[in-house]
Amino acid sequence: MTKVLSPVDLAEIHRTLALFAHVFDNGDVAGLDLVFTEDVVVEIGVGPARAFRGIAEFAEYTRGKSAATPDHHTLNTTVEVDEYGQVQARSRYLGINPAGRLTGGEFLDILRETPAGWRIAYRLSLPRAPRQPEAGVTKVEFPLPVRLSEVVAP
Amino acid sequence: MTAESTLTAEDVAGIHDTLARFAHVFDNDEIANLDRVFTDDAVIENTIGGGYTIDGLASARQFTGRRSPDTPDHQTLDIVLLVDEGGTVRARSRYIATLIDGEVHGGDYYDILERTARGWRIKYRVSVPRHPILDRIELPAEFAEAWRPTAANVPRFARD
Repeated sequence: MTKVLSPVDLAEIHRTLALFAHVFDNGDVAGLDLVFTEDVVVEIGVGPARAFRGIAEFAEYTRGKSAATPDHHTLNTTVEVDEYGQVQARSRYLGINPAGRLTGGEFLDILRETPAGWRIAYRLSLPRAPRQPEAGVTKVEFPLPVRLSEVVAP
Repeated sequence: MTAESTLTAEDVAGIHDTLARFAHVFDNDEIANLDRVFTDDAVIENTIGGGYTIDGLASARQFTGRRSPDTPDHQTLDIVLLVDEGGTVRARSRYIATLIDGEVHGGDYYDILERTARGWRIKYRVSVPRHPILDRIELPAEFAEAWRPTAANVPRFARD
């Protein structure tokens, strides 16, 4: 069955992605459930370098982040329905750190529509800049060849 | 509780267009087009430095006409629309300001929107710098509460 996303779905998905910046950057732990599913898995970097399983683990990370953590801005979002009917979004993020310098990278998200609205069920965050000369960036297939049932907490 | 679905896709697109238009109109000194962004009675504030308040569209036109050619450009993103119990539509978004030397500044826009005969317009805006840390006046802690996203003020958008 091919899922068709309406303009309203897309507007709500974009808003969910935008909410991440406001909720996370302000340490608004109570607002995380407007962004993520309860069983969300967030992976940062390849390997991954860090992983958070479930909204409670990510809330702990949100609470403990340093004041020097860059602010996040999400842009260039493209949304696709993958072969399993999962809704995936690929975005760029720009971070601004307290020195006024930029960081940048990718957010690769799989979203699920819950009764309360669209939520991120899986996020892979891949830093791109700054990076060492000749290091290159991590390239991933999009849509991600990932099935939510295999990656999210049971 | 989920907020009532009072905003349609058309409303959302219209508000996003107005917020995007600010950068184009203001950064290009299009004084005549400020009424495509703000209501006639708009109040525009900024907490940077000692802070300032611009009261009304006529003052906004004077302010825009006086600004330095070295004023940073504005980019607006991460827009979240909120609707409170009384139906007031707020937008919370981020700006990225690009300075003439390539430095970037980021901050929050806290807006109240009004549906006018001309379309959605900004009735109130305060800009609050975030990074880098700049001199600024601090808003009362409770100020941002009306713009804090909750299940009650983040509505599902209306579906046909």
